[in-house]
Amino acid sequence: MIKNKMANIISGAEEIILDTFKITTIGNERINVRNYKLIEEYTDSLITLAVKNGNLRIYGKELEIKNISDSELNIEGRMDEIKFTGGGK
Amino acid sequence: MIKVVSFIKGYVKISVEGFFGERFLNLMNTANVPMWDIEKINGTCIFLKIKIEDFKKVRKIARKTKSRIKIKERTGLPFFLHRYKKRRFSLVAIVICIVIAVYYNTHFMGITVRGTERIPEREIIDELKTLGVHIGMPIKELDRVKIKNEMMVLDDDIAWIGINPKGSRLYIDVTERKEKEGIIDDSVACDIVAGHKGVIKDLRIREGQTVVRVNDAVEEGDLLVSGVIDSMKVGMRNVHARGEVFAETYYKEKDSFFLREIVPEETGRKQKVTFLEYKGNKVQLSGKKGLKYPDGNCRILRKDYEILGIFPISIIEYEYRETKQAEVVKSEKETIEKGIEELKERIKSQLGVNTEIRDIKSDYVIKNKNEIEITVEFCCFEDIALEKYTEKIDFKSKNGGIDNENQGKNKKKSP
Repeated sequence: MIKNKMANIISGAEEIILDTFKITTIGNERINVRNYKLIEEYTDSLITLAVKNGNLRIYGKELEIKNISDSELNIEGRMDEIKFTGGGK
Repeated sequence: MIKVVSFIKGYVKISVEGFFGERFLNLMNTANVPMWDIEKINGTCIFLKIKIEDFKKVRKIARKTKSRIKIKERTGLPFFLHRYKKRRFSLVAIVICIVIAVYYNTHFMGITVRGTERIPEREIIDELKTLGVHIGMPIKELDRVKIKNEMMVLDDDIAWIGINPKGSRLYIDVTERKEKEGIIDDSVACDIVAGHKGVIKDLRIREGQTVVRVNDAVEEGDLLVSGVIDSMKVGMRNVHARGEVFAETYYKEKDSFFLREIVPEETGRKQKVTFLEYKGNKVQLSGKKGLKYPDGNCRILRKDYEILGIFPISIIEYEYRETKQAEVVKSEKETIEKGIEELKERIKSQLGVNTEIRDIKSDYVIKNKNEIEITVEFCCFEDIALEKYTEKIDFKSKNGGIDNENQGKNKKKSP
Protein backbone atom coordinates (compact mmCIF):
# COMPACT_ATOMS: atom_id res chain seq x y z
CA MET A 1 0.00 0.00 0.00
CA ILE A 2 2.79 2.41 0.97
CA LYS A 3 4.59 1.55 -2.27
CA ASN A 4 1.47 2.38 -4.28
CA LYS A 5 1.11 5.74 -2.52
CA MET A 6 4.80 6.52 -3.12
CA ALA A 7 4.40 5.55 -6.77
CA ASN A 8 1.47 7.93 -7.09
CA ILE A 9 3.52 10.73 -5.58
CA ILE A 10 6.64 10.09 -7.66
CA SER A 11 5.13 9.72 -11.06
CA GLY A 12 7.42 8.61 -13.87
CA ALA A 13 9.36 6.04 -11.85
CA GLU A 14 6.50 3.90 -10.61
CA GLU A 15 8.01 0.68 -12.05
CA ILE A 16 11.13 1.12 -9.90
CA ILE A 17 9.20 1.71 -6.69
CA LEU A 18 6.71 -1.06 -7.37
CA ASP A 19 9.52 -3.31 -8.69
CA THR A 20 7.54 -4.24 -11.77
CA PHE A 21 7.79 -3.64 -15.49
CA LYS A 22 6.39 -0.83 -17.61
CA ILE A 23 5.43 -1.04 -21.29
CA THR A 24 5.03 1.96 -23.56
CA THR A 25 3.92 1.48 -27.15
CA ILE A 26 3.89 3.98 -29.99
CA GLY A 27 1.35 2.66 -32.47
CA ASN A 28 2.10 -0.96 -33.20
CA GLU A 29 5.57 -0.22 -34.47
CA ARG A 30 7.54 0.70 -31.40
CA ILE A 31 7.55 -0.67 -27.89
CA ASN A 32 9.56 0.32 -24.86
CA VAL A 33 9.90 -2.07 -21.91
CA ARG A 34 11.36 -0.84 -18.66
CA ASN A 35 12.51 -2.84 -15.68
CA TYR A 36 12.49 -6.24 -17.43
CA LYS A 37 14.59 -9.06 -16.04
CA LEU A 38 15.89 -11.12 -18.96
CA ILE A 39 15.52 -11.81 -22.64
CA GLU A 40 14.13 -15.36 -22.83
CA GLU A 41 13.60 -15.67 -26.54
CA TYR A 42 14.44 -13.50 -29.51
CA THR A 43 13.30 -14.17 -33.07
CA ASP A 44 11.94 -11.85 -35.71
CA SER A 45 8.36 -12.97 -34.95
CA LEU A 46 8.46 -13.38 -31.17
CA ILE A 47 10.34 -11.72 -28.36
CA THR A 48 9.85 -13.13 -24.90
CA LEU A 49 10.99 -11.13 -21.89
CA ALA A 50 11.12 -12.32 -18.32
CA VAL A 51 9.47 -9.77 -16.08
CA LYS A 52 8.39 -9.81 -12.44
CA ASN A 53 5.82 -12.55 -11.84
CA GLY A 54 5.73 -13.84 -15.38
CA ASN A 55 6.69 -13.52 -19.03
CA LEU A 56 5.91 -10.84 -21.56
CA ARG A 57 5.43 -12.13 -25.10
CA ILE A 58 5.49 -9.79 -28.04
CA TYR A 59 4.28 -11.32 -31.30
CA GLY A 60 4.72 -9.65 -34.66
CA LYS A 61 6.75 -9.52 -37.85
CA GLU A 62 10.28 -8.22 -38.53
CA LEU A 63 10.81 -7.58 -34.85
CA GLU A 64 14.15 -6.13 -33.93
CA ILE A 65 15.66 -5.00 -30.65
CA LYS A 66 16.88 -1.49 -31.39
CA ASN A 67 18.82 -1.02 -28.21
CA ILE A 68 19.38 -2.56 -24.83
CA SER A 69 20.54 -0.58 -21.84
CA ASP A 70 20.68 -1.33 -18.16
CA SER A 71 16.97 -1.92 -17.51
CA GLU A 72 15.38 -0.71 -20.67
CA LEU A 73 14.75 -2.26 -24.04
CA ASN A 74 13.33 -0.83 -27.27
CA ILE A 75 11.73 -2.98 -29.93
CA GLU A 76 10.76 -1.99 -33.44
CA GLY A 77 8.76 -3.91 -36.02
CA ARG A 78 5.11 -4.68 -36.77
CA MET A 79 3.57 -5.88 -33.55
CA ASP A 80 0.46 -8.03 -33.62
CA GLU A 81 -0.02 -9.06 -30.01
CA ILE A 82 1.41 -8.44 -26.53
CA LYS A 83 0.71 -11.16 -24.05
CA PHE A 84 1.51 -11.46 -20.34
CA THR A 85 1.74 -14.94 -18.89
CA GLY A 86 2.26 -15.69 -15.18
CA GLY A 87 4.84 -18.04 -13.74
CA GLY A 88 7.99 -16.34 -14.99
CA LYS A 89 11.09 -15.48 -13.02
CA MET B 1 23.25 13.61 -31.40
CA ILE B 2 23.78 10.08 -30.09
CA LYS B 3 24.87 9.05 -33.59
CA VAL B 4 27.38 11.91 -33.74
CA VAL B 5 28.81 11.01 -30.33
CA SER B 6 28.96 7.33 -31.36
CA PHE B 7 30.79 8.32 -34.54
CA ILE B 8 33.33 10.43 -32.66
CA LYS B 9 33.97 7.70 -30.08
CA GLY B 10 33.78 4.90 -32.63
CA TYR B 11 31.78 1.69 -32.62
CA VAL B 12 31.88 -1.81 -34.09
CA LYS B 13 29.25 -4.04 -35.59
CA ILE B 14 29.82 -7.63 -34.46
CA SER B 15 28.23 -10.94 -35.28
CA VAL B 16 27.62 -13.43 -32.47
CA GLU B 17 27.25 -17.02 -33.54
CA GLY B 18 26.11 -19.61 -31.02
CA PHE B 19 23.14 -21.42 -29.57
CA PHE B 20 22.73 -19.11 -26.63
CA GLY B 21 22.17 -15.76 -28.26
CA GLU B 22 19.63 -14.59 -25.69
CA ARG B 23 21.94 -15.55 -22.83
CA PHE B 24 24.72 -13.63 -24.48
CA LEU B 25 22.51 -10.52 -24.65
CA ASN B 26 21.48 -10.93 -20.99
CA LEU B 27 25.08 -11.29 -19.83
CA MET B 28 26.07 -8.27 -21.89
CA ASN B 29 23.32 -6.28 -20.21
CA THR B 30 24.40 -7.52 -16.78
CA ALA B 31 27.94 -6.39 -17.61
CA ASN B 32 26.51 -2.91 -18.42
CA VAL B 33 27.44 -3.02 -22.10
CA PRO B 34 25.11 -0.81 -24.14
CA MET B 35 24.01 -2.45 -27.42
CA TRP B 36 21.96 -1.20 -30.31
CA ASP B 37 20.65 -2.28 -33.72
CA ILE B 38 20.37 -5.91 -32.57
CA GLU B 39 19.34 -8.03 -35.55
CA LYS B 40 18.59 -11.72 -35.35
CA ILE B 41 19.83 -13.01 -38.70
CA ASN B 42 18.91 -16.65 -38.09
CA GLY B 43 18.49 -19.08 -35.20
CA THR B 44 22.15 -18.96 -34.27
CA CYS B 45 23.45 -15.59 -35.47
CA ILE B 46 22.91 -12.09 -34.07
CA PHE B 47 24.31 -8.82 -35.37
CA LEU B 48 24.71 -5.96 -32.92
CA LYS B 49 26.63 -2.75 -32.43
CA ILE B 50 28.74 -1.91 -29.40
CA LYS B 51 31.25 0.77 -28.39
CA ILE B 52 34.95 0.08 -29.04
CA GLU B 53 35.78 0.30 -25.35
CA ASP B 54 33.32 -2.54 -24.54
CA PHE B 55 34.84 -4.99 -26.98
CA LYS B 56 37.11 -6.57 -24.33
CA LYS B 57 34.10 -7.41 -22.17
CA VAL B 58 32.42 -9.08 -25.15
CA ARG B 59 35.19 -11.64 -25.51
CA LYS B 60 34.80 -12.85 -21.93
CA ILE B 61 31.04 -13.19 -22.32
CA ALA B 62 31.46 -15.00 -25.65
CA ARG B 63 33.71 -17.54 -23.95
CA LYS B 64 31.10 -18.11 -21.26
CA THR B 65 28.28 -18.62 -23.79
CA LYS B 66 30.47 -20.56 -26.24
CA SER B 67 29.74 -18.05 -29.01
CA ARG B 68 31.94 -16.95 -31.84
CA ILE B 69 32.50 -13.25 -32.30
CA LYS B 70 33.39 -11.60 -35.59
CA ILE B 71 33.81 -7.90 -36.29
CA LYS B 72 31.68 -7.02 -39.31
CA GLU B 73 32.15 -3.24 -39.49
CA ARG B 74 34.34 -0.64 -37.90
CA THR B 75 32.83 2.80 -37.89
CA GLY B 76 33.85 6.14 -36.41
CA LEU B 77 36.56 8.72 -36.18
CA PRO B 78 39.23 6.58 -34.43
CA PHE B 79 39.13 4.06 -37.31
CA PHE B 80 39.11 6.84 -39.88
CA LEU B 81 42.17 8.44 -38.33
CA HIS B 82 43.88 5.09 -38.02
CA ARG B 83 43.23 4.35 -41.72
CA TYR B 84 44.83 7.63 -42.72
CA LYS B 85 47.83 7.28 -40.43
CA LYS B 86 49.81 5.72 -43.26
CA ARG B 87 48.39 8.11 -45.86
CA ARG B 88 49.76 11.24 -44.29
CA PHE B 89 49.52 13.34 -47.42
CA SER B 90 45.84 12.54 -47.82
CA LEU B 91 45.27 13.50 -44.22
CA VAL B 92 47.20 16.74 -44.69
CA ALA B 93 45.16 17.47 -47.86
CA ILE B 94 41.91 16.88 -45.97
CA VAL B 95 43.03 19.13 -43.14
CA ILE B 96 44.06 21.85 -45.63
CA CYS B 97 40.69 21.55 -47.39
CA ILE B 98 38.88 21.93 -44.07
CA VAL B 99 41.04 24.94 -43.12
CA ILE B 100 40.44 26.59 -46.51
CA ALA B 101 36.69 25.89 -46.32
CA VAL B 102 36.53 27.38 -42.82
CA TYR B 103 38.66 30.37 -43.89
CA TYR B 104 36.50 31.03 -46.96
CA ASN B 105 33.36 30.93 -44.87
CA THR B 106 34.60 33.24 -42.15
CA HIS B 107 36.46 35.87 -44.20
CA PHE B 108 35.47 38.22 -47.00
CA MET B 109 36.55 36.79 -50.31
CA GLY B 110 35.40 39.62 -52.52
CA ILE B 111 34.20 43.22 -52.48
CA THR B 112 31.69 44.39 -55.07
CA VAL B 113 31.02 48.09 -55.48
CA ARG B 114 27.64 48.94 -56.98
CA GLY B 115 25.99 52.16 -58.07
CA THR B 116 29.06 54.21 -58.96
CA GLU B 117 29.39 56.20 -62.17
CA ARG B 118 31.79 59.02 -61.40
CA ILE B 119 33.86 57.58 -58.56
CA PRO B 120 36.17 54.76 -59.67
CA GLU B 121 35.53 51.43 -57.90
CA ARG B 122 39.21 51.12 -57.09
CA GLU B 123 39.09 54.44 -55.19
CA ILE B 124 36.29 53.18 -52.94
CA ILE B 125 38.07 49.87 -52.39
CA ASP B 126 41.26 51.76 -51.45
CA GLU B 127 39.33 54.00 -49.07
CA LEU B 128 37.76 50.94 -47.47
CA LYS B 129 41.23 49.47 -47.12
CA THR B 130 42.37 52.50 -45.14
CA LEU B 131 39.46 51.84 -42.77
CA GLY B 132 40.51 48.21 -42.39
CA VAL B 133 37.97 46.67 -44.76
CA HIS B 134 39.72 44.46 -47.30
CA ILE B 135 39.56 41.06 -48.91
CA GLY B 136 40.53 38.50 -46.31
CA MET B 137 39.07 40.46 -43.41
CA PRO B 138 37.19 38.32 -40.84
CA ILE B 139 33.43 38.71 -41.40
CA LYS B 140 32.66 39.06 -37.70
CA GLU B 141 35.05 42.03 -37.36
CA LEU B 142 33.00 44.18 -39.76
CA ASP B 143 31.34 47.11 -37.98
CA ARG B 144 28.85 48.22 -40.61
CA VAL B 145 27.64 51.40 -38.91
CA LYS B 146 31.18 52.60 -38.15
CA ILE B 147 32.47 51.94 -41.67
CA LYS B 148 29.39 53.58 -43.20
CA ASN B 149 29.85 56.75 -41.17
CA GLU B 150 33.60 56.91 -41.70
CA MET B 151 33.27 56.40 -45.45
CA MET B 152 30.75 59.22 -45.73
CA VAL B 153 33.11 61.51 -43.84
CA LEU B 154 36.14 60.35 -45.82
CA ASP B 155 34.71 60.78 -49.32
CA ASP B 156 32.72 63.93 -50.03
CA ASP B 157 31.48 62.51 -53.33
CA ILE B 158 29.50 59.84 -51.48
CA ALA B 159 25.98 60.92 -50.57
CA TRP B 160 25.05 57.55 -49.07
CA ILE B 161 26.77 54.21 -48.69
CA GLY B 162 25.37 50.79 -47.83
CA ILE B 163 27.58 48.02 -46.43
CA ASN B 164 25.88 44.70 -47.13
CA PRO B 165 27.71 41.45 -46.43
CA LYS B 166 26.25 38.47 -48.27
CA GLY B 167 27.97 35.20 -47.49
CA SER B 168 31.68 35.79 -47.93
CA ARG B 169 31.22 38.70 -50.37
CA LEU B 170 30.82 42.31 -49.30
CA TYR B 171 28.53 44.48 -51.40
CA ILE B 172 29.09 48.23 -51.24
CA ASP B 173 26.10 50.16 -52.55
CA VAL B 174 27.07 53.74 -53.28
CA THR B 175 24.91 56.72 -54.10
CA GLU B 176 27.08 59.49 -55.48
CA ARG B 177 26.57 63.12 -54.63
CA LYS B 178 24.87 64.73 -57.61
CA GLU B 179 27.00 67.81 -57.82
CA LYS B 180 30.07 68.79 -55.95
CA GLU B 181 29.80 72.47 -55.34
CA GLY B 182 32.93 74.57 -55.30
CA ILE B 183 33.17 77.06 -52.51
CA ILE B 184 35.16 80.23 -52.65
CA ASP B 185 36.55 81.24 -49.30
CA ASP B 186 34.46 84.01 -47.72
CA SER B 187 37.61 86.07 -47.12
CA VAL B 188 38.33 86.19 -50.88
CA ALA B 189 36.71 88.92 -52.98
CA CYS B 190 34.72 87.81 -56.00
CA ASP B 191 32.17 88.90 -58.59
CA ILE B 192 29.06 87.10 -59.69
CA VAL B 193 28.83 86.38 -63.40
CA ALA B 194 26.20 84.66 -65.53
CA GLY B 195 26.70 80.92 -65.68
CA HIS B 196 24.31 80.64 -68.60
CA LYS B 197 22.65 82.78 -71.24
CA GLY B 198 19.17 83.95 -70.19
CA VAL B 199 16.72 86.67 -69.22
CA ILE B 200 16.94 87.79 -65.60
CA LYS B 201 13.69 87.39 -63.68
CA ASP B 202 14.67 87.78 -60.03
CA LEU B 203 17.64 89.23 -58.13
CA ARG B 204 18.37 88.37 -54.49
CA ILE B 205 21.68 90.07 -53.79
CA ARG B 206 23.08 90.03 -50.26
CA GLU B 207 26.45 91.60 -50.91
CA GLY B 208 28.09 93.34 -53.87
CA GLN B 209 27.15 95.93 -56.46
CA THR B 210 24.32 94.77 -58.79
CA VAL B 211 25.01 95.79 -62.40
CA VAL B 212 21.94 94.25 -64.11
CA ARG B 213 18.19 94.60 -63.73
CA VAL B 214 15.16 92.30 -64.04
CA ASN B 215 14.28 91.48 -67.70
CA ASP B 216 17.85 92.16 -68.82
CA ALA B 217 19.13 89.60 -71.31
CA VAL B 218 22.58 88.34 -70.40
CA GLU B 219 25.14 86.17 -72.12
CA GLU B 220 27.24 83.52 -70.41
CA GLY B 221 30.09 85.20 -68.50
CA ASP B 222 28.44 88.63 -68.25
CA LEU B 223 29.01 90.44 -64.97
CA LEU B 224 25.88 90.42 -62.79
CA VAL B 225 27.09 91.52 -59.38
CA SER B 226 30.40 93.28 -58.91
CA GLY B 227 32.70 92.53 -56.01
CA VAL B 228 33.93 96.14 -56.11
CA ILE B 229 31.74 98.52 -54.12
CA ASP B 230 32.03 102.25 -54.22
CA SER B 231 30.29 103.81 -51.25
CA MET B 232 30.22 107.31 -49.97
CA LYS B 233 31.26 106.31 -46.46
CA VAL B 234 34.21 103.96 -47.04
CA GLY B 235 34.95 104.58 -50.71
CA MET B 236 36.08 101.81 -53.05
CA ARG B 237 36.53 98.32 -51.62
CA ASN B 238 36.57 94.66 -52.64
CA VAL B 239 33.87 92.34 -51.25
CA HIS B 240 32.82 88.76 -51.65
CA ALA B 241 29.68 89.18 -53.82
CA ARG B 242 26.83 87.01 -52.61
CA GLY B 243 23.34 86.29 -53.88
CA GLU B 244 21.09 84.46 -56.31
CA VAL B 245 20.23 85.59 -59.80
CA PHE B 246 17.24 83.73 -61.19
CA ALA B 247 16.82 83.78 -64.92
CA GLU B 248 14.76 82.22 -67.68
CA THR B 249 17.24 80.13 -69.63
CA TYR B 250 16.95 78.25 -72.89
CA TYR B 251 18.61 75.00 -73.89
CA LYS B 252 18.41 73.87 -77.48
CA GLU B 253 19.48 70.62 -79.12
CA LYS B 254 19.20 69.84 -82.81
CA ASP B 255 20.13 66.63 -84.60
CA SER B 256 19.29 64.48 -87.59
CA PHE B 257 17.69 61.07 -87.20
CA PHE B 258 17.35 58.41 -89.87
CA LEU B 259 14.49 56.10 -90.76
CA ARG B 260 16.86 53.43 -92.07
CA GLU B 261 19.82 52.60 -89.90
CA ILE B 262 22.53 50.00 -90.04
CA VAL B 263 23.01 48.68 -86.54
CA PRO B 264 25.02 45.75 -85.21
CA GLU B 265 22.70 42.91 -84.22
CA GLU B 266 23.72 39.96 -82.05
CA THR B 267 23.41 36.61 -83.82
CA GLY B 268 23.27 34.58 -80.61
CA ARG B 269 26.61 32.89 -81.22
CA LYS B 270 29.10 33.58 -78.48
CA GLN B 271 32.51 32.59 -77.22
CA LYS B 272 33.53 32.52 -73.59
CA VAL B 273 37.12 32.83 -72.49
CA THR B 274 38.14 32.81 -68.84
CA PHE B 275 41.44 34.06 -67.51
CA LEU B 276 43.12 33.89 -64.14
CA GLU B 277 45.04 37.06 -63.36
CA TYR B 278 47.73 37.35 -60.75
CA LYS B 279 49.70 40.59 -60.48
CA GLY B 280 49.04 41.52 -64.11
CA ASN B 281 49.92 38.07 -65.46
CA LYS B 282 47.08 36.28 -67.19
CA VAL B 283 46.61 32.55 -67.60
CA GLN B 284 43.77 31.22 -69.73
CA LEU B 285 41.64 28.80 -67.74
CA SER B 286 38.97 27.86 -70.22
CA GLY B 287 37.78 28.55 -73.74
CA LYS B 288 39.42 28.06 -77.10
CA LYS B 289 42.49 30.04 -78.07
CA GLY B 290 41.95 32.70 -80.73
CA LEU B 291 38.96 34.96 -80.94
CA LYS B 292 36.13 33.88 -83.20
CA TYR B 293 34.23 37.15 -83.00
CA PRO B 294 36.80 39.90 -82.39
CA ASP B 295 34.48 42.57 -83.82
CA GLY B 296 31.46 41.52 -81.79
CA ASN B 297 30.18 42.85 -78.49
CA CYS B 298 32.27 41.92 -75.50
CA ARG B 299 30.98 41.55 -71.96
CA ILE B 300 33.61 41.44 -69.23
CA LEU B 301 32.90 39.94 -65.83
CA ARG B 302 35.65 40.35 -63.27
CA LYS B 303 35.74 38.80 -59.82
CA ASP B 304 38.51 39.60 -57.35
CA TYR B 305 39.61 37.20 -54.67
CA GLU B 306 42.36 37.16 -52.10
CA ILE B 307 43.53 33.67 -51.23
CA LEU B 308 44.38 33.41 -47.55
CA GLY B 309 44.49 37.20 -47.50
CA ILE B 310 47.86 37.22 -49.25
CA PHE B 311 47.49 36.33 -52.93
CA PRO B 312 45.20 38.70 -54.83
CA ILE B 313 43.83 36.90 -57.87
CA SER B 314 41.13 37.82 -60.36
CA ILE B 315 38.96 35.61 -62.50
CA ILE B 316 38.07 37.49 -65.68
CA GLU B 317 35.44 36.15 -68.00
CA TYR B 318 35.18 37.61 -71.51
CA GLU B 319 32.04 36.83 -73.43
CA TYR B 320 32.36 37.73 -77.10
CA ARG B 321 29.05 37.88 -78.94
CA GLU B 322 28.99 37.73 -82.71
CA THR B 323 27.26 40.63 -84.38
CA LYS B 324 26.21 41.28 -87.94
CA GLN B 325 25.20 44.52 -89.60
CA ALA B 326 21.45 44.68 -89.86
CA GLU B 327 19.25 47.33 -91.40
CA VAL B 328 16.53 48.60 -89.13
CA VAL B 329 13.64 50.48 -90.71
CA LYS B 330 11.57 52.68 -88.42
CA SER B 331 8.40 54.59 -89.10
CA GLU B 332 8.40 58.38 -89.17
CA LYS B 333 6.43 58.55 -85.94
CA GLU B 334 8.76 56.17 -84.17
CA THR B 335 11.87 58.01 -85.39
CA ILE B 336 10.49 61.38 -84.24
CA GLU B 337 9.45 60.05 -80.82
CA LYS B 338 12.79 58.38 -80.23
CA GLY B 339 14.69 61.43 -81.51
CA ILE B 340 12.78 63.79 -79.23
CA GLU B 341 13.40 61.53 -76.24
CA GLU B 342 17.11 61.32 -77.03
CA LEU B 343 17.45 65.09 -77.38
CA LYS B 344 15.50 65.61 -74.15
CA GLU B 345 17.91 63.29 -72.34
CA ARG B 346 20.87 65.20 -73.81
CA ILE B 347 19.48 68.50 -72.50
CA LYS B 348 18.57 67.05 -69.10
CA SER B 349 22.15 65.89 -68.64
CA GLN B 350 23.26 69.54 -68.96
CA LEU B 351 20.82 70.86 -66.36
CA GLY B 352 21.74 71.58 -62.77
CA VAL B 353 20.07 69.88 -59.82
CA ASN B 354 17.87 72.84 -58.93
CA THR B 355 16.90 73.81 -62.46
CA GLU B 356 13.15 74.02 -62.95
CA ILE B 357 11.86 72.98 -66.39
CA ARG B 358 9.02 75.33 -67.33
CA ASP B 359 8.35 74.49 -70.95
CA ILE B 360 9.50 72.01 -73.59
CA LYS B 361 9.11 72.67 -77.31
CA SER B 362 9.93 70.27 -80.10
CA ASP B 363 9.89 70.61 -83.85
CA TYR B 364 10.98 68.51 -86.80
CA VAL B 365 11.75 68.93 -90.48
CA ILE B 366 11.66 66.03 -92.93
CA LYS B 367 14.83 66.59 -94.93
CA ASN B 368 14.41 63.67 -97.32
CA LYS B 369 12.92 60.14 -97.40
CA ASN B 370 15.40 58.91 -94.85
CA GLU B 371 16.37 61.91 -92.71
CA ILE B 372 14.41 63.93 -90.18
CA GLU B 373 15.90 66.91 -88.39
CA ILE B 374 14.54 67.31 -84.89
CA THR B 375 14.89 70.31 -82.60
CA VAL B 376 14.05 70.30 -78.91
CA GLU B 377 14.11 73.43 -76.75
CA PHE B 378 13.76 73.64 -72.99
CA CYS B 379 12.68 76.80 -71.23
CA CYS B 380 14.01 76.67 -67.68
CA PHE B 381 14.12 78.77 -64.54
CA GLU B 382 17.33 78.63 -62.58
CA ASP B 383 19.92 80.44 -60.54
CA ILE B 384 22.63 81.42 -63.03
CA ALA B 385 24.89 83.14 -60.49
CA LEU B 386 28.49 81.96 -60.75
CA GLU B 387 31.24 83.23 -58.51
CA LYS B 388 34.34 84.55 -60.25
CA TYR B 389 37.44 85.97 -58.63
CA THR B 390 37.55 89.76 -58.92
CA GLU B 391 40.34 91.52 -60.79
CA LYS B 392 42.83 92.66 -58.20
CA ILE B 393 42.41 96.32 -57.38
CA ASP B 394 44.44 97.53 -54.46
CA PHE B 395 42.20 99.63 -52.23
CA LYS B 396 43.91 98.31 -49.10
CA SER B 397 46.01 101.37 -48.53
CA LYS B 398 42.95 103.55 -48.80
CA ASN B 399 40.06 101.47 -47.36
CA GLY B 400 41.36 98.23 -45.83
CA GLY B 401 39.16 96.00 -48.04
CA ILE B 402 39.69 92.32 -48.82
CA ASP B 403 42.92 91.50 -50.63
CA ASN B 404 42.58 88.88 -53.31
CA GLU B 405 45.42 86.48 -53.86
CA ASN B 406 43.64 84.09 -56.21
CA GLN B 407 42.95 85.51 -59.62
CA GLY B 408 41.66 84.20 -62.90
CA LYS B 409 39.97 81.07 -61.47
CA ASN B 410 36.27 80.34 -61.77
CA LYS B 411 34.33 78.22 -59.34
CA LYS B 412 30.64 77.52 -58.87
CA LYS B 413 29.18 79.74 -56.22
CA SER B 414 28.85 78.61 -52.63
CA PRO B 415 25.44 77.30 -51.60
